Amino acid sequence: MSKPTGGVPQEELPEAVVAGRHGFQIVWLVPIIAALVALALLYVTFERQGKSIEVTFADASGVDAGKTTIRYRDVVIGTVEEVRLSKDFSHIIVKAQIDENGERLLVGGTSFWIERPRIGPKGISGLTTIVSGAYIAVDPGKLGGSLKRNFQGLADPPDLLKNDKGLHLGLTSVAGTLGLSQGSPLIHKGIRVGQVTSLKLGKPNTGATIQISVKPAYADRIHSHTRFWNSSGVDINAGLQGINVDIASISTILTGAISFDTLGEVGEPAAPGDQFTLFKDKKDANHQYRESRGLHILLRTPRLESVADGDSILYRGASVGRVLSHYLDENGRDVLLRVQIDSRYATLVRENSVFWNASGIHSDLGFTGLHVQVSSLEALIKGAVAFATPDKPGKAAETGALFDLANESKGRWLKWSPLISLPPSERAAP
Amino acid sequence: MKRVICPQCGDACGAPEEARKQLLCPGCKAPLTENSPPQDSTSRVWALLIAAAILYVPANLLPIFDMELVGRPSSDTILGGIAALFASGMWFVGGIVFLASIVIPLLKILGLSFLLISTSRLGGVEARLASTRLYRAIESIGPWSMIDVFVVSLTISLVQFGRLASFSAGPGAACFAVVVVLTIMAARSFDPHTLWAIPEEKR
Repeated sequence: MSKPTGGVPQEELPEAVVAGRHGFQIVWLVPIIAALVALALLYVTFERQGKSIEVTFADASGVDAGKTTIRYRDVVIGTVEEVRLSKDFSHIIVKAQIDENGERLLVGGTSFWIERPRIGPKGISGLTTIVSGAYIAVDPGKLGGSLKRNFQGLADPPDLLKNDKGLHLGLTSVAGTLGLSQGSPLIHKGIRVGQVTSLKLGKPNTGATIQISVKPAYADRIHSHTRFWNSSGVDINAGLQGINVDIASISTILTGAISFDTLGEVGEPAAPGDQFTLFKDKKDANHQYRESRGLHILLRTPRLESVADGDSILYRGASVGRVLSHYLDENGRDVLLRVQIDSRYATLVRENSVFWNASGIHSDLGFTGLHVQVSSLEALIKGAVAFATPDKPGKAAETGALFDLANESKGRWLKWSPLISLPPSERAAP
Repeated sequence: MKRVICPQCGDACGAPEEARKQLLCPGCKAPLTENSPPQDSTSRVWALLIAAAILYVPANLLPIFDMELVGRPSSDTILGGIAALFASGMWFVGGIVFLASIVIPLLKILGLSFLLISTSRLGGVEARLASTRLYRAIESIGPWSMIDVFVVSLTISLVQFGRLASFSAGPGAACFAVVVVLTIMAARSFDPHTLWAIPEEKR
């Protein structure tokens, strides 16, 4: 077939080249790559989204779907996806996505609670939660167990983190929590040796139960006779000797703190779960300790005159004991004073010792003139009980011995000067 | 032999009449489009369209941005962002974003597919004219879909306040940008000649 085309003869036209047939066109690589990329992206994204869990809470204040995070040791391991009410409206259900690196924490025994901003012992903790809102904290159970999907959230942070290896003890405080809070430090001789892990109300009329955790390194400092007291805040002692202000540290004013010490015999080492009493303050703790020692005697007086609990017992003007308490005897005719004499001075009290009320001013107007007798200014204001032992001391008084309390001293009593040897003073330096 | 003019160098050459294969200019080796079989450009367009359709899925499922506002991380997909715009009463902006990022890419993919499937079955001149108009519309509307990508990239460069607020593109944004580019490429690769390659028997 030949047709003249233009001026060029048909024969002279170069023939078009037939392209080598590609079995596969390069452009089809594009959808293949696109498919691979899309699959990889979707896989990575949905795999990273991790597992979905549901946690039930009594309330969900501060929990926002899509914003609230789930954290373990302050590391984000998931996000809340949805917050909804249960079918019977009795609680709420938080649905959350846990990242793949947090999946292994989802075992039986894992607990969840809502962490809110609070002023804690390490300063103000969770300051970020003031702007970013609360987050859900996790305390994992034993790792390696079978994975779970549904959890019961805790209303309050758990007593103690389960991986805390410290010595856990309970303290009972009749006076309440005394300004302590979870995380308040446990201080021994100025060093932080543990912390408060939870505060709870005990059985009715038993006050508050405070759980503490002592660092393992310091657990051996605690024995059955160890006394704990609340060292929070400022301790002001105003007396005739002046004003004594005792501040453990500024931070404990805010956070509260517990101190402890062991006086006298130590007893058995404390075992986990042991219960102790928490005293109101150091004086209270030591007072109770001191009360338990020494010589206890009773004084009888027909009328309680300006002697109050805590008043000193004076021997030659020196304080050797104190009035612990007073009560009426069974007939209601006499007042009985419970008196404690410090153990070092117990031997001063003999069966023939005499006691008198050294409070106030005793004047004695007689033919020989006016005698005004004031034992000391402190005794004048506070009241005190004095005693004396005759030059020939009798047998040592026993605990529970009963003496009469005279209203005033007789002149000769003051002149008695028996020779009684005392045990060496604990305070006297060798 | 049929005389063919190379579109590239302008040389004339003879083409075998019966050839249904891709012919190359003997001088410059450029493909001779006039005589090229319709499958060639068609398969190119198909490949790009399929790639775009595949990536359209992650573009819509994956977040297009990751935002962190005062410590609260948040991310959203295109649809989520549109829903948020509608929920806050910004109907106009929401509508524009919906058109630009959901409707237009979808229309482009579907429209080009329709054109590719229908070329061989087109009847009269009227139908071919309509198809050509559709093609022109698709081609001109293409770049408008980039509006989303521009929004994200502008926000990324503007919203960088360190810890207070930071903004970064999510994997969805990259997928979306590739979808738009692929549809533009597909529209460009589509040879409108095929719409008018009327077989002898229908002429």
